[in-house]
Amino acid sequence: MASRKFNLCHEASFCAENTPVTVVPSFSYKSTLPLMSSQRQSSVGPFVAGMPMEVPLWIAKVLQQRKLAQIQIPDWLSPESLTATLTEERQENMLTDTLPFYYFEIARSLQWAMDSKSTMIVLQDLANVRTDKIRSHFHEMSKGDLEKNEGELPEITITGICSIELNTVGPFLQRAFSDYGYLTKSQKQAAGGDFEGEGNTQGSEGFKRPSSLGSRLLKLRKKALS
Amino acid sequence: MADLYNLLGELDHREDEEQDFFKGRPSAAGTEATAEQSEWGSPSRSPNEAEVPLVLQQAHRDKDIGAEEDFGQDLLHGEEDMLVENDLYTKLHRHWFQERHCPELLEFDEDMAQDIKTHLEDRRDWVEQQEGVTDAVEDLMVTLTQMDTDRVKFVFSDWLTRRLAKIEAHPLYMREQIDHMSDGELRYLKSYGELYESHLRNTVLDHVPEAWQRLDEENMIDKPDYDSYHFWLAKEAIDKHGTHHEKGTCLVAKYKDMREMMIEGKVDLQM
Repeated sequence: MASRKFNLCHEASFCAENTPVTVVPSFSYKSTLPLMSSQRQSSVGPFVAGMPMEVPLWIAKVLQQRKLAQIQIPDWLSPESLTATLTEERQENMLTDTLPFYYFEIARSLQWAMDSKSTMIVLQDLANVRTDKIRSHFHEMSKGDLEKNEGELPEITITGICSIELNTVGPFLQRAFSDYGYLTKSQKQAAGGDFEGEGNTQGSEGFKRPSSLGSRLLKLRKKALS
Repeated sequence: MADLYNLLGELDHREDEEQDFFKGRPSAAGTEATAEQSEWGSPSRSPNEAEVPLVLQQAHRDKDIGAEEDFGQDLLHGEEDMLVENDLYTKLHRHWFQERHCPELLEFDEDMAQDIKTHLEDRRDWVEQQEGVTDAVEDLMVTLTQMDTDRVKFVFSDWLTRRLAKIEAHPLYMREQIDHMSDGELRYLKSYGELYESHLRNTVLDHVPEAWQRLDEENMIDKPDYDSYHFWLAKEAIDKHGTHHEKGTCLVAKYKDMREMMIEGKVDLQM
């Protein structure tokens, strides 16, 4: 499970690096460079020293490291606009959808290019507030609707969720829901008194663990005993 | 308009930094280049060589830049190809993203895979041709192309790896999904299935009574979890269980409920 989160974090950073950012190059290069790994641009350039241009984030990082360009911090990443978003986030019940999907990963990549350190502090606060909102949203929902619907989880709307929240609470919630599904199905079976009918197959499908030789042997033994 | 003299001066300072980078470069083109071109920025320029005047250097540099207008065009043949590549990567990215989170095996896009392989090979050949390039900015372009190719390679190989992992996880069930697999994956499934079966037979099945030796029974076949919950993104306005969802809403719902809409392309998996 820990390795899955590790992978998610790196994959998110990878996808975030395709975001276009504005850079000001300090060199000139007349022809264009064709790009294969961008969904928006098919080529980059020509580079004109002193003129701002859009490049994917990973190119911007390489250029900045070699001191060949200056990255311009995007508007939404300034301390003022982040603080405004944070205030709005605290007041609203639903998540704001003004932030780009990979906002946290982009900020993390650019943090050494940023002037003020307060940006990262505000960003951490923002991420925490949003994650807590999601957690409490589900918690409230789980108290209310689930009891009424007898175990069938309704569809939950979480518009505006971003990559960092998805990767933080996502795996846990998925596991929680599938466990919940298994438990409620077992309850239904017990209530219906139908153990060996169709309900059994559904129950075993709803609670998947990776199969091993041991579990297969258990199935064989169960069959032998029935 | 940038001041080219100063630009050259600036880049001159950076040459020291680039030296470290160039240390590992093959020296095959080095000596010839210094004899013929005396190019500014050449890393293998010996200290005994006379300094070429700045004006000559600049003129030479302008000539080189003019000659390299075909830099990008060597790789691709015309504007249409550039646009096609973008669609290609968009497709690959979408396939990869969906395959990451989907519990079952999705369709294999044979044409897209073939196109990607061709493009990757073209790039690799081109980068190999550019070995021995001495100009700092040109070398930067080659490095960027290499990184770009590496990124696409990663996505492509990760996509194929995930598909194979899914095939390995449910080998018996995957026999019903062969229309979603490529030829290579089919061969893999076959040989993996044989290994798996022979392993089980040798360790367990040959030693249990015959009635329980079958691996093919329905209870014995592991299916992927269709009841798992996922985060979805609605690409169009959809109607689900009587409720209407606008475009852009994110939902949490069971996989089997949203499966048909995903195949139609109305929703996308986010996690």
